[in-house]
Amino acid sequence: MSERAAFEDATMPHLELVHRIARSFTGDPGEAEDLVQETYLRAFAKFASHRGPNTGAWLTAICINAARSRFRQARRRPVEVRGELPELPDDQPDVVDRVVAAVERDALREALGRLPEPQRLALVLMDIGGLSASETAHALGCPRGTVLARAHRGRRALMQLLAAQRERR
Amino acid sequence: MSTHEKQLIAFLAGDLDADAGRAFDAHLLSCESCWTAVKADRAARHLLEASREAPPTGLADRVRLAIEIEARQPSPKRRPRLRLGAAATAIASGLAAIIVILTQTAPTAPAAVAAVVASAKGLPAAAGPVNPGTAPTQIGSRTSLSARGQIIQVSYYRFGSAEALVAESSEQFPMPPGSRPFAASTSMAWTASKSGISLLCLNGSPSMLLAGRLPVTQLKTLAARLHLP
Repeated sequence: MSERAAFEDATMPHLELVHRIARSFTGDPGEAEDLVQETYLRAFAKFASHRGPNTGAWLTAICINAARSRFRQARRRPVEVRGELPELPDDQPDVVDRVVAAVERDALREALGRLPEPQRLALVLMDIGGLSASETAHALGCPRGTVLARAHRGRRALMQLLAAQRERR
Repeated sequence: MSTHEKQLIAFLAGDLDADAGRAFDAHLLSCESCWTAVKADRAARHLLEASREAPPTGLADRVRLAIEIEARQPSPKRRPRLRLGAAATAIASGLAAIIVILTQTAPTAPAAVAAVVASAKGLPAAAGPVNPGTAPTQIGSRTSLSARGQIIQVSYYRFGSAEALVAESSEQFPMPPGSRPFAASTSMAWTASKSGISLLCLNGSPSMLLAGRLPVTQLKTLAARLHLP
């Protein structure tokens, strides 16, 4: 089997995952496709040194690095949240349901972009990408427990941001 | 992290054993704060999962084509990196021509100019003069390519019976041999003709290179209609 065929056999089943990750970095579908292609070209150049079965996590890490390079060049990094966010009120148990019912894709993307990067990446890889906590930990190079904590805090912060967006309207 | 939060996270991850899980379930019935946190966690996960998008049709073909082109290059030192844009499948045949031109004509034509010429080779020739009042219409998707590291964005336009492309780059397009400077007010503008393709370059920020099988005068008209600098 040629190197290219072996590479495609190993990586093309993860195209949907890579596209989801890339799409979470940009609101521009064309730019996301460019990022997917750049990820695969970078991966192809490194394929000889890739070992192990966790190809999805490996591609994910490459995609994140490619996105960082692009956004560093373009100076279009998402604006992160500074300071404390208001907690979701305990005495209004239906606030979460109301936020879920009203949320739109663009609002979700904007709120996600405002999270601190570690939390955002945990959510992108696990909830959008569909990776397990262990695979996410492998891709990000940190312990599984850290990923779970970031994901939980990120989800809560996301809902707080969405609730705040809803209040502003 | 507090012990309470650790337990909450372990519960959400399904890491608690049966007894601890039952105990936490019971705790949720009486703790509004934890119940709100659990609901927010699950709701956010649901929203994010629901936001997943399927890859567009043709992305797999585009990626495979890019890999195929990359795999053809015998040596990284000689590898002109090409990145296909969103309409990659439509210009697939042109890409092979780009590679050939990049490797064969690089000594005489700058790589960026050669890549643009190759991209313009598939455009139809103008059937006749274009009325200056004709409005250009963008056709197809904007594509991107890279020639020797210079990133170029390419848009295609129908202009009367003619079609032309507008290549845009943050770097200047070097003057190829045989080109002519024009427009005294802009010292970085030049025109040329390569392989039957007329070229009109407006270097600046960004730099624009118009190309097509139509007279340079009509490329100038197109540039004016597009309000290019």
